[in-house]
Parts: sequence; structure tokens; C-alpha cells
Amino acid sequence: MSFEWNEDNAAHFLNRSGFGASQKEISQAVKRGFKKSLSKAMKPSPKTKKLPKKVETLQKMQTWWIDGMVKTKKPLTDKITLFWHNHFATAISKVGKRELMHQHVATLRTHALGNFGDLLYAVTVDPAMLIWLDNKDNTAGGLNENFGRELMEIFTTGVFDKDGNENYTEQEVIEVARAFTGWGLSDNEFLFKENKHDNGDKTFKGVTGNLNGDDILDMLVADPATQRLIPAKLWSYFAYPIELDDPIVTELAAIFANTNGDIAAIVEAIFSHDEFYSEAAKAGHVKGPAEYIVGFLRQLDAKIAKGYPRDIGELAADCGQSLFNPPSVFGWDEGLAWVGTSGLLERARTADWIIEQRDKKKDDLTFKPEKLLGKKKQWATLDAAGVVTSVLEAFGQRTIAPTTRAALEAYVVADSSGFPSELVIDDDFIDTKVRGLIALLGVTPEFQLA
Amino acid sequence: MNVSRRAFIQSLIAVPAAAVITQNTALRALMAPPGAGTRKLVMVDLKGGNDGLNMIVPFGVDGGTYYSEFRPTIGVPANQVLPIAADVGMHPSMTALKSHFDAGRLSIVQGVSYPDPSFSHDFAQKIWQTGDPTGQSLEGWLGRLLAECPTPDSPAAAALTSSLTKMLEGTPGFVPAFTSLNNFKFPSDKKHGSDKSNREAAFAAISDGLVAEGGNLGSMATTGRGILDLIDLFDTVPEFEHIGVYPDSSLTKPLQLVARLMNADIGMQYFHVTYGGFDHHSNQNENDKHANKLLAISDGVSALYDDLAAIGLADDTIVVVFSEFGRTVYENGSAGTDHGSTNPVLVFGNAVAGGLTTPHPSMDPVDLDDDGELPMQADLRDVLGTVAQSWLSADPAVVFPGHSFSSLPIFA
Repeated sequence: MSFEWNEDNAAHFLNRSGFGASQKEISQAVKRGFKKSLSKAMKPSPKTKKLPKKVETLQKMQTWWIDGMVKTKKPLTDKITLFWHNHFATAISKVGKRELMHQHVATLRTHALGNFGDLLYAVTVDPAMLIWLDNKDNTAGGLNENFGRELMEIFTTGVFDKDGNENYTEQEVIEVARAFTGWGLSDNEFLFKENKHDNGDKTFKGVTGNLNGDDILDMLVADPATQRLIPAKLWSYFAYPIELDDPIVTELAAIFANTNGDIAAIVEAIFSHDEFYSEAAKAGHVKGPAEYIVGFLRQLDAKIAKGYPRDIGELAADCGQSLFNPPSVFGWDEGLAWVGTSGLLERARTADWIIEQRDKKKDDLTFKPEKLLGKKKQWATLDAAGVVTSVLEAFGQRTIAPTTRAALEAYVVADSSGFPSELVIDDDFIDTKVRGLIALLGVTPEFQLA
Repeated sequence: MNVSRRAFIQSLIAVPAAAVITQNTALRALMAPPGAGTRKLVMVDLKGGNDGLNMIVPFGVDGGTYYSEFRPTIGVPANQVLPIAADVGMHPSMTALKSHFDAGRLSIVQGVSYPDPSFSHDFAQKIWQTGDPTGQSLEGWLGRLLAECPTPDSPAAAALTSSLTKMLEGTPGFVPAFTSLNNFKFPSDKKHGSDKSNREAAFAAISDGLVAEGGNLGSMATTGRGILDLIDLFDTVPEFEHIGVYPDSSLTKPLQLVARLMNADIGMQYFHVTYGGFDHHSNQNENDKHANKLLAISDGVSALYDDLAAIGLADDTIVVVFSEFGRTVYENGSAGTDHGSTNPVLVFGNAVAGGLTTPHPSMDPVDLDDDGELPMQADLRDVLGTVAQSWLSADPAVVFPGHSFSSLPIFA
């Protein structure tokens, strides 16, 4: 390790291991030092709260999760649970029951920073997954390939290895499906139905025998292709998109192999890697919608109203990430796909929706825009540049292009005819311009990168 | 947008002036692909793998017993299909497209695939969208085609999806991806309406200030500028009274949007429309699940035709309906079908030759390949290549590099 533990690197670490760090958190992390900051961040939060009774719609359940992410003191668990939610993408659109989706995400959270093999087994027998990929209907004499195929293609090895060779044959898809026959459901709980299981010989990866699902999972976790794909996806999520044959993936795959799939060990290695603090990494990640909204609300120190107002969950859905409801087993496209024409326009709308929340009694959010300007007695000394600096600092936004800064400064003093006016910081200025500045910051290209 | 205000903020920070949209359709026509002129193409992409064997039903192919033997539970009974040949018929829900077929407006290319087909949704979609069977191409086939044409002054191609599709990657200039014109406006704080134009001008300046950057920042800035130009452009798009009667389906919205945008004559000619939910691994006939999707395609595309005919664009438009793969010939144990390959492609419009472009592949089990798939009758690159060549006057060798192209009799 040779990276310097300064404000820039601490901010980067906090943003990637959590959501939207404030300047205060950044200063604290610098003082604390890297090692202590890392061990603090790595503490897991594996328990999931019960779903409150009043959460009676999908939208409210989405708000419920977002609210939890805004409030949590251990954001890494949520951050990586979002990752697994995309990796094992399972949706209420087919599963149907909110309770089962709550249970599914709880399963992801339990093992989010645990052992990959444990996580894979837990997901395989998770009721939502058994419904989602039809394995509940996969029986001896009534084969259903859906789970067997996606287990390999998406959850473990991927279609191709680092050299472009296929990781499995079509016949192996069938063999794997046979091994999972009888892995079914009874009253929405996993049940191995012995009489529905195909006890014949199956051949997988050169091994022939009466292989059961457990055997297949063990073989897939031990497969070098899996041991590359999972670390490569983790690096791509936390740092920047990477190819399977990259030397960094080789390093991380060795950790996977040596620790028998300890997810926390791989994540720690990512955060401790010099390359994680490179410019490429800092500019290499576009925030996903949940990350965008959660970070935004944390940086604003905003409070979500009681009762899990549905509009907050809908904001993320409108921006392209309907939590508990990914579009397909492939999950959401990440990176720039989040901020295409619709995605970026929806973020502009989301930012505007947030700053239009004013009424403490009626609205879904409360925050104090004046707090972003620092101490009131210093307001008189602020010019346009000072106002912009205060807001950027409050948001922990360290990277801003000179042209962007200039546009923000011009905006701050532009009067209703668009001409520069004298800067007076009063209630009207705060309600118009500070709120407006927050909305604008929320749609700058710089803010989309975390 | 008040130009003087935008100009003011821009002058302060000395960024390049915003690109000005010209509404000059004559100029735009000059910039269209060589020979393609004002011709339009709508690619309807059925996501998840449509069961083509239950859409174009080979009820009598090879003696008439194989189909019903392969699919005892989910097969369409021979006496219910809408016959289009002695041994092949359309699904009974597709009466609208059947009448177009009878009128010679529908070419059905049967048995479309490519060498060593992929059974992965993700990879097969990549292959169909890039037209590259290795899936390595970074550009879409339509993107490669449009890259041969001069960049138009406003977008000629659009993905009517929430994010940009692979098919249009490589298209020069800004390619929008959107699902609705409703509320396609830059948001503003309702309490401070007088500040609206300042916010919009600042966003324009921020975007223009970064468009020259590479990487993620530059890409987002280009999108930001593109959004502002689209807002102005969409302001000119009138409401459209649909003549066509559209079904209740998620495919209807994008098809209606196609009709409205074509009617507006803003230079958009190439559309990628997606319709999902075809991955029927279980109970595909339950509640007419698959039948309703086929109905939505048939009635939806037919309604689009009625709209276009009413505004005089039916001769100028081709609709291509395809999916990333077909499904297993045999039904599975859950009254569904798993991932297959060979599948029909529909090419619809006044300009087509009509009829069955290629014969149905043999259903005889001895003719199935090692994976149990139907033999290929036409390469997807020849299908799309024929559309590129005959409809858009493009060179198939450029659009599908490395492929030895042979034209199919899809067009009249």
C-alpha cells in the first residue's frame, strides 16, 4: 500500500463503502487513519428489521429500505446487499408476495459480507428464488432448466472464462437441472422432495455419480471461473469496470481461493488496493439510483417523514431502479446506462422534487437548506463563489470542473431577468437560490460519479 | 427558453455556444443515408425469447405429427391455427397480422439463426443487436449502418426504452433513449417560477462546459445537452389522434409514440422498441399468457399500420419483429419451454414481397442438431442485411463485416 490517506482518498473510500459522505465524516476519517476507518466500515450489520405492518405496498417497502439506508451507521452492508440484489436479481413481478421479497433481501443481507458458498446455498433454497427461476417445478421426469442455467451463467461461472472459452456445455445445463430436481417449496418454505428427485447418474465437470444440488454448488464455488467472476464483479462495482483477465482480478481470485470465498476479505483487499485510489477508480463509478437518492438525503441531513411515504421509493423506480423488482434475472444495467436520456432527466426531476419539500407537516422530507451555508454570522462575508463553495463542501463534493463552478456561481446571482444582481443572503435567497443550487448540483455530471 | 438569459450565463463562463437546432427538414433529408431518404424502420425486439413455434405453428410440417408430439400440453391444436400454408399457420390470436399476410404485407422468414447459437439471453441479445455471432462487436448493426451516413443535425435514431440499446451503439451524434414525451421538460421549483430559466441556462452551461471531456463526464454532458435540445424539439411535436385501435399492452405505448413522432416529422426515422416478458419456462398458456402477448404484437403492429396509412407514411415504413432466440422444440416438465435458438422473423409493411420467405425447418427429430434445435434456414445477418440493403440502401458488407452476404427475397 502506498496511497496517501488524505481528504480526497478518504472521501473516495467513504463514498464507495457507503453513501454520500459529508465533509464532517471525511475529516473524521482522515483523523482516524486508514486502518481504523477500514475496520469501522467492515463491521457487518447482518440483521434485517421486520417489515412494519403499515408497509402495505411495494412502493412503501422501497421507501422502507431507502429510509434504512439513509439512517444506517453501517452503510457497507446495505451497499453490498444492493450489489447482491443485482447479482441474484429476483423480482416481485413474478414472486408476487412482499413478504417473500423481504425474506429474500434479508437472506442477501445475512451473508452479504460472509462466505460466498453459504450465500449461494441460502439463495438457492430461498423461496423467492425457487419461484423466480421455476425450480419449485423442477422434478424428475418434469425437468425445468431455468435455475440450472442461470445458476452457472449469472450466479457463479459466467458463460465464458477469461480466455473466452465456454465454462459449461448445454448438456451440463441439463445435468445441473437434474441435480436440483425435487428442490421445491411447501407452504412457501424450502422442502427437498425426495420422491421428485432424479437419483440417476449425472456427469458434471468430468465427475459422474448421483450428484445432488449440494454437490453442484460446491463444485461451482470451487470453480476457477467463479473465483474470478465474483471478485471481478465486486471490483467493477466498487472501483471501475474490469475485464476477467485483468491482473487485479488474478490477485483477488487468489484471495477468494485462499479464504474459501470470504467476501469480506475480497472487499477489504479492494479498499486496500492502490489502484482503488487511482484517478480511473475515482471517475469510474456512476451512482445507481438508490445510491444517488440515499447519498443525496444523507448529505442534506434530510429526515424522511413517518409512515414510509411511497413517493420516495418511487423516485428510485423512476430513475430506473425499482427495488425488490429488477427488470429481469440480469438485473439492472449499471454505469452510464443509469444516466441515459431518461435516467438523467429523472435525476433532474428527483433533485427538484427533493428541494421542493418544504412543509414539515405535509411533505415527505424535511431538511434545512440554510445549514449548508455554515454559521449565520459569516453569511455577510460570502460572495457567489463562497456560497457555491459552502454548498459543495456540505455535500462533500470535491471534484467540480471550473466551467461547472462558474455556471453555478453565475446562477447564484442571476436575477429573475437572468442578469447579475447583488448577493443578499436572506430567507428568500435561501429558499430560491440555495435550494436551486442543490437541485443543480444534483444534476451535474460530477455529482453522478461517487 | 429565453435565449438572452442563456446567452448571459454562457458569456460569463465563456463556453461554446449551444448547438442550435434547425427545423429544416429539407436539409435533414439531404443528410439521410444515401438512397434511404425518408424511409423508416421500426425494430420490435421481443425480450426473453419468444416461442416462435407457437407463433408460426408448423402443425403439419413433415407429416403433421411431430409438432403435436413434441408439445402435447402447450401445442396449438391444428384446427385452431390460422393457416398460411398447407402445413403452417399463425397463432389464433394473430388475426390482424393474418389479414395483412393475406394482403401481401407480411414476409415471414422462417428458421432464422446463426452459427453456434447462444442459449444465454444476455449473449444472444448482444448477437442480435450487433449482428456479430461472436458477440464481440462494440457497435450495433444499425449503429454501424448510420455511421456510414452524415451525422444529422438532430437525432435520426431513437431507442424507445429507458436506456440506450446496443443496436444503436456506434451511431454518430446524440442518440436519445426515452419512453414518453409526457413531462419531457426540465424541472423547476413551482414556488419560484421566475428562477426557472436561470436553472435551465445553468444546466446548459454545465453540460456545454463538459461535452469535450472524455469518459463518463463527457458522455453525461452530451446527454445533458441532448436532453435540452430534445425538450425544444419535442415542444414542436403535436398531439396525435390515433386512428389505429391499439390493444391494452405495454407494447402499445412505444408503438403509439412511434406514430406520433413520425407524424411530427422531426427527422426521427429509426426506432428500437422492446417488449419484454417472453421467458416462459412454466405454464405459458396459463391465463393465455403467451397468446395475449402475440395478440398485443398482432393488434399493436396492425394499429401502427393504420396510423401510418392515415398520415401517408405506410409506404415509407418497415416493421421488423424479432427475438433473441426461440424456445426448445419439446415442451418442458412445467408446461413451458426452455431456451432454444432457431426462430421466425416478421418483416411487415407495404414494401415487402409477402409470404413465407423461407420454408419451415424440418421437424423430424433426425434433422435436429446436437442441442435438439431446428436446422437454420436463414442467417440473421442475411435477414438484417437484406433490410439494410434493400430498404436502407446500405452496403451489407459494411454493416456485417466478414459475413458472406446473400440476399433474401423479403422485399417486392
